[in-house]
Amino acid sequence: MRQSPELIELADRPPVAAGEESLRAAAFTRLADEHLDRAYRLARAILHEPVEAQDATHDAFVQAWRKWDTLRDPTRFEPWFDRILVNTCRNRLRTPSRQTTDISAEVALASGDLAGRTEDRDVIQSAIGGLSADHQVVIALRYYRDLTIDDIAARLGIPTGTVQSRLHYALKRLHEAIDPADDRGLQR
Amino acid sequence: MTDQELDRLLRAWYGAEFDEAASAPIGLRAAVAAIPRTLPRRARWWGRSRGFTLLAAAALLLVGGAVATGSGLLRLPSPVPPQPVPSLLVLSPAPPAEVSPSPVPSLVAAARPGALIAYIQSTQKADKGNNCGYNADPTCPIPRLWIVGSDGSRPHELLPDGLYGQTLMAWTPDGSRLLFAERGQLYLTDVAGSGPQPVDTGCVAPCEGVGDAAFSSDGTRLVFVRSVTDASGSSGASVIAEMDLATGRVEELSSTYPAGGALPGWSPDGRQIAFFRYGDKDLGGPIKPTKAAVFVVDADGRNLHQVSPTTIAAQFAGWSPDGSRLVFTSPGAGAADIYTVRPDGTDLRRLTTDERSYAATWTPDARILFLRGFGTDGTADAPALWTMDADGAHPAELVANVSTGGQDPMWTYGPAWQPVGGPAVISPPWTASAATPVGPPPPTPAATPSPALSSGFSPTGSISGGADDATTDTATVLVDGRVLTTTTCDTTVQLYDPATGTFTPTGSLAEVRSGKTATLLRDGRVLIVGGFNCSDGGQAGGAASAELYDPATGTFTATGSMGASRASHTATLLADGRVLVTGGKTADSPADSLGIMLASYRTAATGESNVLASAEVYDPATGTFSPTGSMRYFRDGHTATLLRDGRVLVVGGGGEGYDSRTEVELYDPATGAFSDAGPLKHGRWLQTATLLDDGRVLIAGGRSPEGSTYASTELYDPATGRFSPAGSMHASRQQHSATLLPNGRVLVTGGYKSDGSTWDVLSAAELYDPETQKFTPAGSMGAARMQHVAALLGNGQVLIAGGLGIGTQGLVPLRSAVLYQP
Repeated sequence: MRQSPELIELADRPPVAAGEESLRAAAFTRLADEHLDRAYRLARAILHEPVEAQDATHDAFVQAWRKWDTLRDPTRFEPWFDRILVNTCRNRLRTPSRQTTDISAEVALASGDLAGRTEDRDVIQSAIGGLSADHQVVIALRYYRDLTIDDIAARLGIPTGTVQSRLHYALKRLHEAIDPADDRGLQR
Repeated sequence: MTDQELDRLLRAWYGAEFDEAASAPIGLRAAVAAIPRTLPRRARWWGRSRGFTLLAAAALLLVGGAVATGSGLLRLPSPVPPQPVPSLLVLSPAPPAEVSPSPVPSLVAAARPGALIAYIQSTQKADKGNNCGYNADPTCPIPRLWIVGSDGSRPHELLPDGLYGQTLMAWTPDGSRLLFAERGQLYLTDVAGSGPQPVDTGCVAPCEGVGDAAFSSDGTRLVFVRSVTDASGSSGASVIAEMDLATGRVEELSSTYPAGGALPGWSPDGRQIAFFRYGDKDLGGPIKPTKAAVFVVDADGRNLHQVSPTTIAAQFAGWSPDGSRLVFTSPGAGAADIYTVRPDGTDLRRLTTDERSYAATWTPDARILFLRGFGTDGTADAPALWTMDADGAHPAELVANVSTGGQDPMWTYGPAWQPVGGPAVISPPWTASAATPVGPPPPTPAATPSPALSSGFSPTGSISGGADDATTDTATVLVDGRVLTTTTCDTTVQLYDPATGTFTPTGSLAEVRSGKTATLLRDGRVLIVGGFNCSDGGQAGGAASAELYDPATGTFTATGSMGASRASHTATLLADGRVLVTGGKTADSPADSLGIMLASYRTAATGESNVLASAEVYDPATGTFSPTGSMRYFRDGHTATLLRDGRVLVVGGGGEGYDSRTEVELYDPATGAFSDAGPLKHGRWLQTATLLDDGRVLIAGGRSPEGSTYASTELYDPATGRFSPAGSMHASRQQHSATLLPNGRVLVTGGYKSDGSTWDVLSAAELYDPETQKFTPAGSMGAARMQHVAALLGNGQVLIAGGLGIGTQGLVPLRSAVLYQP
């Protein structure tokens, strides 16, 4: 693998001073703690399964710490970190061993609806779960985080046109999956 | 269910499923808090094996290097909004006096045309509806419209009371007002920021909103991008539209539907509109890499054509003041480089080469105004406004520390220099009418003009039917001389008859299989093995199953299954009639099914390989697969070639998670074991391997560990067990075809060519002569093709079919075929 002289030079720099390191760690810990709940919820919305979401959130923070020097403005931590988190979730969605958990029952209990709507939720969850990883991510950012196209593009680091395209095809596939059930009387 | 109903249903579902007040588990909180103590920062975190990761790391670290302090430590910049720093403001000679007066005490009050630059600046705003803040901090950075003097003085937000993201469109020709967009609505404001007026463009269903816009230079017309729902009611389509400000008549340019475009702009004479389209990775479902491109269309919707070359991505099309050239940027591993080209696509000039520039526009005096600096991985390195001459000379920083609104240069809006003394626009309000479609319909996705068929090549039939994006992926010559062709992402199977030159349907595969193999058995049947089901974005996973095609009945039947699902594997008919299957991917990633072309888009490898080293043998007598020895290395996208002595030469492989392999292995059917051979001089992936008449094997092209393609070849000699250089092709290639001809020479056609940052798909063919070990050009097969198939027919001709070509939106599946007559 080629390595540029600049990279070699940077790699050979002396270690960061101990005091500076502890400041970094403190800053990271503070920001991580502040963002943890929101990050976990986003991971949960994308991955659905709680354990998967915990693992993804942890992995994303590990990556964030490794990339800490690339965060040049602490006020931009959230979009910077969101991108890492979303990528981590997307990679997990792509791994074949991923197990999904049926959460329809707990949702039904929470909503006080044990009959008809449980099946409806299964349909929706199944439809979302049937999307590609990239499509699941944009759907979650759009309908869970309620982000605009531009904001999704910013989170993912992709052009707005790509977001539009992914949303278009994701919704098209959701239609294909949900509409037959809707014809049978899906409750809305 | 309507789109609106689905919209409500999804919001309700997410709202009910995922409690917004839910907290992270305590264990997770503790584990995250412990990260800095348990995980030392890795000084060489970029040391992953993928080229993309290295480049990204290099970009970030070089940025860091640029701001390193004297102690060698990287410092974090202050979050304070940029303020003019006299010593950094103007490093270049001041712009000409006619467009840049001396600094004035009150920027807006005393400004005259040409004195201002508008740009988008990341600005801390309250989190009202922006969804980017969090509980502990009610603010977040939002892209907002800023104004700065062209001498760098008085940068300020134009509408500081606003909270939402804005995008900059354009100045009115007289420089008195600015057009911008906020939350899907166009506004017009004066340079003092007073009285922003909504611009009515007559947006009624199927219109879903209006975006990028610009005034014609005479101030009478507006061009804009309109988001619409398509015929099925789905969002995502768009079209470029014009509005006559005097009459309110709105016309949609049909030729630009449904792909639309971004940042349309009028030519100075008002006769043409330039715009660009983003490259898109997943248009149509399965991920497809395409490149952004600059287009020009006549104002009446006619003559839509791409003006940027197909070999590079192109964004941000801007007309020079005299209309003679367009400036655009081409993104690379860092930011982008700046190019100019004539509106007819000729005379392409590259002005920068270090991939640090982006969002280029023009100054009124025909220099180029652009942003320079990095913005990768969510970070920004205080990009600055720069100018340079139209030929790239005299680049100089104009305004330092412009924190652009985008996290990525590729979606950052360019700065806009205030025009000098053009006409005023017809005063708003404008009364927009319902849109009228004008001009020709959109062109069907067709390959860009390609060289004519050269002597030796002739057109023949085309496959028909099947999925829209289906293209030929295997071609197997049957005993009776016909060719069995299968398609990607579809169960369609067709027979090519050399006597008639036509493809006709025969049977259907039971499963959709992309990345499958097809192998002619000794009894005349064809074994179809593995593949991904890519008909649903790859989510249905890979297949371990196999099917048999019987030419006598024209039907497929199931046969045994492998121990693992595989795609991008190999299947080689052994001398004893069995079939050796090696390696391949066993995961169900939709990206995987499309192979190398996505490498540059991939994120860092997860560290888990889904590529197999295992091998299996299929016995037609029993219809079953059974394990055999495993390869020493996992591989996919490799080759496995039966040698004259019955052994199988396994070469190459690579992709996500590992570098292109130099390691070579030999499979001995007698022992069922693999042993080391070679190695190759260069690690290769997606190369070809062709058994020559003298028993040697020609390894041609392929992809390097660094992501570029090879023109070089290597020759394996079974007598010595070694590889030696065997001449270079005239073009580097991967995913090409190589076919041994009856005269002993090898026909190489098409393929994908890349230098690591730019790419192209080839139409050129060449011939390899084993005696001289040299390649000679063999003309063009007409259309550029990669991932196509080639089969030697009984009459000595070569059938070249399917694959991917270049269309107006990037890669397109090809259904056509050509014949080569040696």
